[in-house]
Formats: sequence, C-alpha cells, structure tokens
Amino acid sequence: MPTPSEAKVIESIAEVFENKGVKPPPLGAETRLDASLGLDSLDFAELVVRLEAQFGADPFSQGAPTPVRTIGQLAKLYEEALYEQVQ
Amino acid sequence: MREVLLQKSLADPSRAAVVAEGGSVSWAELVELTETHRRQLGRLGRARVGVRLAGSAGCYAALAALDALQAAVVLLRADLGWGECRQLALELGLCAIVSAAGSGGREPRVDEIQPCGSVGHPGSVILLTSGTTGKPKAARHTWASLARPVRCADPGEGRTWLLTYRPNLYAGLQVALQCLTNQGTLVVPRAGASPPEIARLMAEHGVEFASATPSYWRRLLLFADADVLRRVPLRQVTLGGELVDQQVLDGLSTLFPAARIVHVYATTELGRCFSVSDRRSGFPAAFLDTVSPEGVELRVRDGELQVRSANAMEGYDDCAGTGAPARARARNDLAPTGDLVEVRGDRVFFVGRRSDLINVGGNKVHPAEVERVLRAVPGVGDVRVYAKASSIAGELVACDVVPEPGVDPEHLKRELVRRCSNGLLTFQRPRLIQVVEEIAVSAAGKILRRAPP
Repeated sequence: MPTPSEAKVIESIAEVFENKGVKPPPLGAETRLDASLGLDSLDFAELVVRLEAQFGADPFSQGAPTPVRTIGQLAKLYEEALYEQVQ
Repeated sequence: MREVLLQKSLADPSRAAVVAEGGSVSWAELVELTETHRRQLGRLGRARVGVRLAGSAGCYAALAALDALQAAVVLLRADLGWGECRQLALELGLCAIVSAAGSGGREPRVDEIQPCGSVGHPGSVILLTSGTTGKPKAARHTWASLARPVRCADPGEGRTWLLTYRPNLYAGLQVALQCLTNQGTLVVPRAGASPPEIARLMAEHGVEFASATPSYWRRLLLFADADVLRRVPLRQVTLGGELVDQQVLDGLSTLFPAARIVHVYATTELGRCFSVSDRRSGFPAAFLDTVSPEGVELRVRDGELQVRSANAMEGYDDCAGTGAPARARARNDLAPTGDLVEVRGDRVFFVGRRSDLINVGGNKVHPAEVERVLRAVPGVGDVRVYAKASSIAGELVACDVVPEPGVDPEHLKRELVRRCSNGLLTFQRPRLIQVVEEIAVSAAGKILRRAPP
C-alpha cells in the first residue's frame, strides 16, 4: 500500500504517461525512475512541475538534490522539502 | 485633436459622436463640451498633465481642450487607483491629473499634484506602452504624428466605429482619431462587456468599422451569437496588435463575407507601418527593402523585422532620459521590432515575438507555431500557449484551451494529446493542458505569454 506521498507521485507519473498518449505501466514505491520506465528528461521536468502543483514545493529548485532512484525515494524528497518549508 | 473637436462646421450636429455606458453625446454637445473644458482647464496651459482616459465624450473633450492649451498630456488608464495615479504623476513629473466628468456631469475633475513648471515639449502626447514585456515605456508623440495615418472618409462611407482597445493606448487613440476626424460615431462598450453584449451593441448601433486584436475577434466569434453578428453592417474588420493567423482571417471572412478584412502592423513607438487586405496571413515580400508611399521601410535581418517609420514617435519621454537617441532611431534608422518573421516565396510570415520564445532545455519554441497546431484540432475554440517555469528544463510549454460549445473537455484533451504527439517535436509538446472558460489577455487585449492568469 503506497503512502499518501507515494500515491501523489504515482498519480502524477500516470498523468505524464497519459499526456504522452501512452498507457502507464504498473507503478509502485519500488518502481525505478530510470530509462526502463520510459520517461525522458523532459518527461521528468514535466513530472516535477506536476509534483510542485501537488505538494506546493519544488526540491529541485535549489539545484540537484541527492540522486533519487525510486518512486519511494522521490516521495520522501518531497516530504523532506515540505518539512523544511514548515521549519 | 483641437481641430477635430473645436470646429464650427458640423455636417450633422445631431449625430451621436460618442455612445458609451452613460448614454449618447451628439456632435453639437461634444463641441460645446470641449469649449467648456477649454475654459475650465485654462490654468493648465503649457503644463504637463495626466489624463485618465475612459472612452467617454468628456475625455475626448478634455484631450482637445488640453491640445488647444498646448499642454503636454500623458495618457493614463481610467481604472488606475488614486495611489497608482499619484505615484505615476510623481515619476513622470505631472503637475495635475485630469479625470473626465462622470455621466451627465459637465466639469472635469482636476487633482493638482505639484506646482506647474515649464514643460519641455508643449503639445506632446505621451503614451505608456502596453508593457507586455517588462516595465512600460513612455513614448512621446505629437497630435500631428498620431493623426498622420488618419484617412479622410469618402462621402457616403460609413462612419460608425467600435472602440475595443483601451482608449489610452496607441490603437485606441487611432480608432478615436479616425472616427472623430470624420465626424463619425464612436461606440464604446462598457468595461468588461461580454461577447454577446458586444455583438448586440454592434448590431443596435449599426457599427460599420471595428478594429480589435485577433484574441478579441476569436472571443467574439466563439461566444457571441453568430446571427446577431451577421446583422452588424460591417464594412471593415481590422485586426492588429498580435500575430494574425489564417484561421481567424478565415473565420471572419466566412461570417462577414462583404466586409473588407484588414490587418495592420503598428506599434506604440513606430506608429502605423502597413496594412494588408488580401485575407491572407503575413504580408507580401514586395513590401521589403523599399520605402512605401507612407514613408515606411521594412527589412529582415537575422529573422527579425526591422522598420523605419515616418509615423514613429518623437522619442521616449524625457523623464526616461533617452529622448534624443530614441528619436534618431525611430525616424532615421531601421529599428529592430522584436517580431520574428520567415520569408516563404513571395510572402513574409510572422512567427512570433522574440520575447515570447519559450526556452525548453535550450530548444526555442515559438508559441504561435504550437497554437497553430492546436487550433486545427476540431473542437478547439481558442487557445493560449505560454511558458511554464521549470527547475529542470528552464521552461516548458503549457497551454490553456477553450472548447467550442458542447465539446466534452476530457475528449478534447485526449484528442489534443494525440495530435500534439503526431504534429509536434517532443520539446514543443504542451506539457500541461488546462481547459479554461476564457483565454487570459493583457490590458492591451493580447494573449498573455509569461505571467500565469
């Protein structure tokens, strides 16, 4: 069962696929965000814009954060960015 | 302006001069109103004053009176708040701000800001550019330079004009001058009027000339009742201020088959440069590298249109400290316009503003090119392509779409995705597609490209 943050990331990734006219593959917290997923760098840029609208934060705006490899790690990154915003 | 409104020989004194929200003012009343304004504003002779310009008879009376008094006028938006007005007045060195009388009133309101000093350029008319890119600039014209493109109507030619532009901007002033010089009737819709309301007003008052941005026309075509629009006795449909695409020209040609359809190229700084009336987008390549009878020279350098125009401003306002060099540029040199063009065969096509280019990870995207693809999708009523900031790619392409009435938004989105995947390169593809009720436009009636609505 994905956490609420992971669910938001999964929903946004699905939207990126739909916006390409492609059916999204099965997605979960362990899904890897590499080329095997089928998203290119502009798709990833689109994902970050969508996630900013979802979370109200953009952890990539201050330069590249620690590499994220999975959906779970990306969701965590947004949780941390939100936590920092509150602090 | 004073020659226009302070004249004694009126062809038809009872004809309406201005029809606005507060009612209608005849030519005889307008001339009298101008005389009254000249007496009441006498102390502002040769002063530098701001005029809050709503499209009312009182405003045009005030402009003509101030022209007769050799004042230098700065044209301001009528809906500016008092705080903003005062700030501008101080920045631009204005001694007073004149607001026209409200409906039924006869006396202008004068708010004095600071003592009147000597004015550098008496009789000048200073227009603040629409400022779609950055801070507005103050372009200094004279009534003579503004009236230069005005054409005297032939006897029997229609004279009822619709004012769609803000009256304080170059295009709005051109429409008013063209109409009033020919003792016509200026029909002014109320601020915020809906397309069906505008169409009814046009039909009710028998509008014969209407000039607007392509965005304004698209909105009218999409939301106004086509049967009401067909009843408008339009002789001429004019488009300007934005790139004119073939789709809007075709839409207008179908609805108004008898009207002359003209698109005009003009800017606040360069004035009116040229017009095209063959119902095709772009302009003939024969216009390039030659001087037109109106004193306008065009050339293309590095894909950008450059213009030298006899209708250009005198210069930027002295407050900006750039008056003299700007004058030399506008009148004597071929100045870059910021408009990017492509020459294809015997035609020059506009591809967009340089400042509107969207930079997607180093790839340049022309919003107008993407809009052209989107507009061709059945069910699309109107569209706006703009830049969305991205921390990863710099910018991404985003778009707002207005569906035609009765079109399912979700189905339309899917169709747009399909067409974009086939018709556009991956960096040109809108990454965010939003269905909206209306397209966001600037105060000048142009599509907003940068700031989100």
